[in-house]
Amino acid sequence: MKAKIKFSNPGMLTTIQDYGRNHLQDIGISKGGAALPSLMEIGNELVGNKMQCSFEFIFNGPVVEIIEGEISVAVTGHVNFEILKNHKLEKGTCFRSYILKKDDQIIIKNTIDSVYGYITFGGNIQLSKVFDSFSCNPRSKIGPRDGAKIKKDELFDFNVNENQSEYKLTREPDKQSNNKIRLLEGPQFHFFEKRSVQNFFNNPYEITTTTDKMGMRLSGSKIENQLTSNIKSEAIIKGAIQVPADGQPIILLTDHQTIGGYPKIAVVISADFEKLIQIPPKSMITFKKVNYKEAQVSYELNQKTLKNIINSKIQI
Amino acid sequence: MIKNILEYGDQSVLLDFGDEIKKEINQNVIFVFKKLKQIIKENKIPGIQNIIPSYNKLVIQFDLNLTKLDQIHQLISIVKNEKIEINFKPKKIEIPICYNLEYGIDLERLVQITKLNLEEIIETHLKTNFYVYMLGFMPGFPYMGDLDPKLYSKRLTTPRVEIDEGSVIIVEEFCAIYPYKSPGGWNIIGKTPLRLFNQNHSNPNLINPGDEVSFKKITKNEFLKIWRSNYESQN
Repeated sequence: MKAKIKFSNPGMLTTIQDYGRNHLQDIGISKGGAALPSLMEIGNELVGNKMQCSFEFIFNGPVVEIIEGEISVAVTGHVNFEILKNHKLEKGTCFRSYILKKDDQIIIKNTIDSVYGYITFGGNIQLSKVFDSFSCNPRSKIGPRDGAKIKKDELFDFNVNENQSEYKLTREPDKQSNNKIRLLEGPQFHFFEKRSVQNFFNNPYEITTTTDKMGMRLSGSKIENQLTSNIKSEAIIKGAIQVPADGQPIILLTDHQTIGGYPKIAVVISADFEKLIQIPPKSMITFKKVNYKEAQVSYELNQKTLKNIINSKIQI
Repeated sequence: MIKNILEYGDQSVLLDFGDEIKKEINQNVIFVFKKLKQIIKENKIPGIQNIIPSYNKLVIQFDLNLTKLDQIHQLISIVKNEKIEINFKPKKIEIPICYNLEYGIDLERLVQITKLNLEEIIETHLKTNFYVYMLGFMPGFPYMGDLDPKLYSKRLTTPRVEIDEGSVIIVEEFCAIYPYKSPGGWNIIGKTPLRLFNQNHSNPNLINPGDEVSFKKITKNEFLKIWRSNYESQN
């Protein structure tokens, strides 16, 4: 069975995402992919997909219309949205799937106290993967349709999953409790002056509005470098916190460049990355230094929690 | 050969090969890079997401769901004891370049900076066999060295908003080529009609770390002919 959808409003910045691409950073392509893989995974689970892809939107989301067929859809995140079903408008619920028919609509209003949200459809999207991934990076033009963001009135076709049902979760992901981000020492930790390092861990930093999916620019107490503010360019990774000469840290996010020449004071632990990337600009964040063991245990705990959430799926 | 091994976040390890940008150091990096790729492929070691060489470092990125830090250290200890064979033959690549002033828009400025005349600048550039230290910054962008010190120049004070794809650029001891249109502050000396990166090809990038690159001067007519066949006939 087939279905066709139309983005009658593309939203502020909506892209197709999956887990991204591995084994290409040595030729200049970073992994990329969904900012919050867990929300994407849950979305795919709710519509009965064996991990396909999701539409990732930020702040003010898109309006999607079903043009043809019948397809299940789920919105994941902390999102204010409406569903137009049989010409009746109802308030949408995140973390459940809806089966929608021709002329029905998903109207995303906005994300609540967060940045990213996901819309996932039940079926195979009719696009060819690029380097084994559907992920789109509009800046580097990598991905299907040259990695472009979704355009107004753009259409997508799906081969719809058989035996569609509506599902919900009995356990939802926890709401963000605080803005404390745990860090590991970075490879150039010792480049920085002791007092500055103390300030870095003891004072809050503001997420500035010049933040996007490549990097989060922070503003706060200046970090003084006692060696050099330029290193021989080396590979950078998601979550690395680099400090340029002006002493204001930048956290590299999902679509970071592949190499960089600024020293890195610290790296965000994987377990806290999704929490970090969901915090909107103008918010304050604080840091805490932890050891490798804690980082690993926290990550494993997160993965276990995600499995439990996914397993809590029940038919409506 | 490997001077230091550092944890880099909880899912990466950084190998440090020394402080300088030197071909000898980078060849060690590339050797370990290739060796690791080979071992991982032959033994089907799971969970390695990326191995990323740069001038003097190598980063191994892994997936904590599939492997653990201990296993990465074990993997490193295998290559650590390997004898370096620098006998792997570098691939040689010849890049056609047109130095017409409409493409080499900074050549006249470089005449003033270097105190060489136009012909001498071109001749010096053509004479150099470049070594590819690494790829990065954007897909397929090669960092090549070492440029003759006579051609030394600094970055522009104000970077340009857009530079054409194919532009051949120099700064300090480096030479590079833009695979895409992009902002940039390096000095533009010419343009190649070759496509450095094409996501629709199975081998998307023309140049790889460790390759040797030399340039061949072509006329504007030759340039346009190759450009059309590369950019207009296919995706």
